[in-house]
Amino acid sequence: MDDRKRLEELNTLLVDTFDAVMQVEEKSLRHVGGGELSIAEFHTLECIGKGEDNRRTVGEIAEALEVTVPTVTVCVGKLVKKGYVTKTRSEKDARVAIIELTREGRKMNRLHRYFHEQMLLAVQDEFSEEEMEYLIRCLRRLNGFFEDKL
Amino acid sequence: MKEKLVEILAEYKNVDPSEIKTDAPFTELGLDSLDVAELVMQIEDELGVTLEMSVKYNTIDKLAAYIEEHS
Repeated sequence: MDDRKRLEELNTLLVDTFDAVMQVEEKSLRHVGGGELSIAEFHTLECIGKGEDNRRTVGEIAEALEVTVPTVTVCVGKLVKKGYVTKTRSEKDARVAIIELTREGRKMNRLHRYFHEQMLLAVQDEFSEEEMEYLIRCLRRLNGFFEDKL
Repeated sequence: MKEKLVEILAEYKNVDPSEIKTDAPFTELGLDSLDVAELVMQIEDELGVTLEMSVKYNTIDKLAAYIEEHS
């Protein structure tokens, strides 16, 4: 395979793999969440769940997800209405909103993690142990390359 | 531990504990992933333990062994 063809294939593989992972995740999570939660909402729940005691401020969520505060505010508003998070004012500073996962929110977070575990185990089944080691090494380098470009 | 988990599961499914096979995968017991997530949370609440939902603990036997090992 000549250089140009190889680069074309690499480009197609990177873009298609990324798209496919996103589509598989969206399809599975839509099933898990009964169609009620978007991928962005699942990721917001995941982000809140990483906070101490399953709670975070709007600013912390925006920073972690690298989105604007108004974007988080809209998303959190939807999640409050759906019953997956609660929004209260900080006792220390009333200007700060504390977002906390409800029981249902924590349940969705578990299902999200479970989906990732299932997906990775299925991927692992496709490769030998040696191939997996090599794949991880290559992906680590690829990830490092793109991280450096940010 | 196993008996307690059977009790919680039987109550959740509203069946007699004798109908629960402890070595059967949860899917064979008629539980989907949403049911398993709910069940895991009920077990946490009732036993005061922290669990992760995982395909590795997909039977009562495996879940009981995991809890005993980590408590």
